[in-house]
Amino acid sequence: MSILGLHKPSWLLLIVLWLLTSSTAFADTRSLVLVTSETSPALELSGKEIRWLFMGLPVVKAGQRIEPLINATTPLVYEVFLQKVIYMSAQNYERRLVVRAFRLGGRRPEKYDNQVTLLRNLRENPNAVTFMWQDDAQRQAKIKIVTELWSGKIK
Amino acid sequence: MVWKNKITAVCNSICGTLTGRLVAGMVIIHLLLLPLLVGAVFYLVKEGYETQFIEHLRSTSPLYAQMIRAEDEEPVLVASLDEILLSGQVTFVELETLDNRLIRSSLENSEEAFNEDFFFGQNGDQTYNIEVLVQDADGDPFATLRLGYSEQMTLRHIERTYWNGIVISAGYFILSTLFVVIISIILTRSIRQIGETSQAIAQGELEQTFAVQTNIGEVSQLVDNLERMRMTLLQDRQEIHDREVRIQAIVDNMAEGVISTDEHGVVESINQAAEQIFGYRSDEIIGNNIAMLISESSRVNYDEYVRDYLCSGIAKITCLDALEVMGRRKDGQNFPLEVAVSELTLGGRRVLSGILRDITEQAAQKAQLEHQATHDGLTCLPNRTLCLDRLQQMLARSQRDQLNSALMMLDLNLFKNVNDTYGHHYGDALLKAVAERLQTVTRGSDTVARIGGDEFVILLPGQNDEGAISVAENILDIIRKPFNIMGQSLKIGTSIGIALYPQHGEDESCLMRHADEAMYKAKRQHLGYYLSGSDEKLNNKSV
Repeated sequence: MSILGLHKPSWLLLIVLWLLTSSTAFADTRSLVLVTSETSPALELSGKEIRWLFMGLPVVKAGQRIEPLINATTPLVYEVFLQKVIYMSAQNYERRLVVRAFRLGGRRPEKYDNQVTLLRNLRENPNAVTFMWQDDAQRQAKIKIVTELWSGKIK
Repeated sequence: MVWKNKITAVCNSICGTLTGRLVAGMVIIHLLLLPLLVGAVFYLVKEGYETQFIEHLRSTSPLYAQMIRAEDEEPVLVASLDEILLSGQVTFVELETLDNRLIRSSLENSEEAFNEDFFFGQNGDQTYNIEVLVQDADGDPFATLRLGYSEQMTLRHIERTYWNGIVISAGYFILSTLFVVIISIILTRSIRQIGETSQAIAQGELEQTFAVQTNIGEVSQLVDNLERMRMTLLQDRQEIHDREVRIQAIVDNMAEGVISTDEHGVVESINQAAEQIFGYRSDEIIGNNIAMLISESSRVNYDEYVRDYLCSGIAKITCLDALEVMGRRKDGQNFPLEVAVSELTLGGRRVLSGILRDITEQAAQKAQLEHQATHDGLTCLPNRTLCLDRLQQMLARSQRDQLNSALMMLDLNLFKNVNDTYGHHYGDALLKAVAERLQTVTRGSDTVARIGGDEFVILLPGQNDEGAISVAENILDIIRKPFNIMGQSLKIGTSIGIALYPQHGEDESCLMRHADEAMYKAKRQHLGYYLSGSDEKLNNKSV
């Protein structure tokens, strides 16, 4: 029997493919991690400190101020960071950073939308930290994972 | 194809007007730019709503997590979850402890799988799911709070904004189109007024002013310039009119007639003097050929002149000297006309202009003078000059036609006595009577001339000796009869000498001499007439 020119086996294959690509079937488990240069000294940061750091507040470890680098190379990694670490929307976060910089002085954390530039600055500055997917971090040379920020399923 | 032509015609008519072009341009611009603008606004509004929504849930979800305390028992936790669910914006809530124990609200029991969202509208379930770690007093996480925020309200806001935006855009489009139409009508009203006034001026109504009120600088400047131009045209027209009136007055008051024609002779204009000369009104002549004003006798020459002129382009008829032709009046009377023709070029075409003079009086005076120069004033007979001229012509004709001709010379007998007795008045009257009688016995082709005093000459072309003698005898008979001059009966006689051509000479002087000699012989011998060179027996008519 054929329907619309397709035989039964073909229809079954289509149904299976649809199921596999449906939202309920596909959800990757990904981890967002904090990374730094491999030449950096050992670093321990709590969740609160990490949040303060990326909110533009000074965090000093071993006499060195930690410099946060914001990874906006993909929208997903940036939104996960905002939702899981900052608990704000992008507009509100950037506005808070600007206001804080004007009020308290200092510089806003640098935001990078180019991964090459981000990684180069990260490697050159032993006091710098940023966030990225764990699988990306494991592929990159000369950087090390400080701590896991979040892990969960993403569709 | 028909529809295509109709659409093309409509487009052409629309784009043919300023209003149409303005509206069409505005429509095109809006059709191009309005979707961009509206789309950009919609995007920004949507982004704003979504960001606001995400901001809210990301900032409130940690607060909800703080409501959960590690030391609470499950009923308390359920109550806390119920409170969270009753907040209105949360549509799903569950708590998962570290030992994977799920605690849910008692108000809702959704079995849908929880997938955390990081973007608005992710997963397409109209619910934004978020997980928050619940921490105890020491800051250590002990559970995960899962919340589901409904996106429907935000979606409804976005949708309502879309529709409002579309309605407002459509209203803006309609209103702007309407405004453009109104503005273009206002704008073009002044231009239309300018056009109407210009059209009236073009039709000769130079008195129409450009009374256009406008605040548009360029149009106002145009109106000022056009008004200045109109005043200049009006001034020029007045000058031209005055000049025309002046020239027309000069032409109309000329004593001579002035007629202008085209190169084919069609009359284009005529002045009052010409009307009076020919007896026509101007409307009776204008448009007709000038040949109607020329007599038949002169028309051949006129036609020849015109033909030569049109063929060669050389205006032979144009000259400084006047020509004499015979004109023809309206009543058919022919009269002598003096014409001086000149040619001019007007607007690239040839125009002939003629100045005409009625020379009837001059011709009559001329004829009178000529008559006086060739005729005897007393008897009106040809005088010696004319007589000799006619004698010449008679001899030439006789020679050509091989004919005889006769010349008679007459002398009146006893004329001196009449003068002496009665005076010159009687003598003059007698001479006039003699002249009349002589003409009664001669033919019309004969010439009776008075060459002096009481001497007469008679030319008889075509006459031989017998004919001449017969005429002589008739003359003798008629002269012999008494003349009644002012109550006096006077009797005279005449002596006639006859000379014949070619017998007695072939030239004037020879014939005259023979005739004169014959006359004297007739007078001496008291003969009535004497034929020159003849026997005396033939001349036996005594007086």
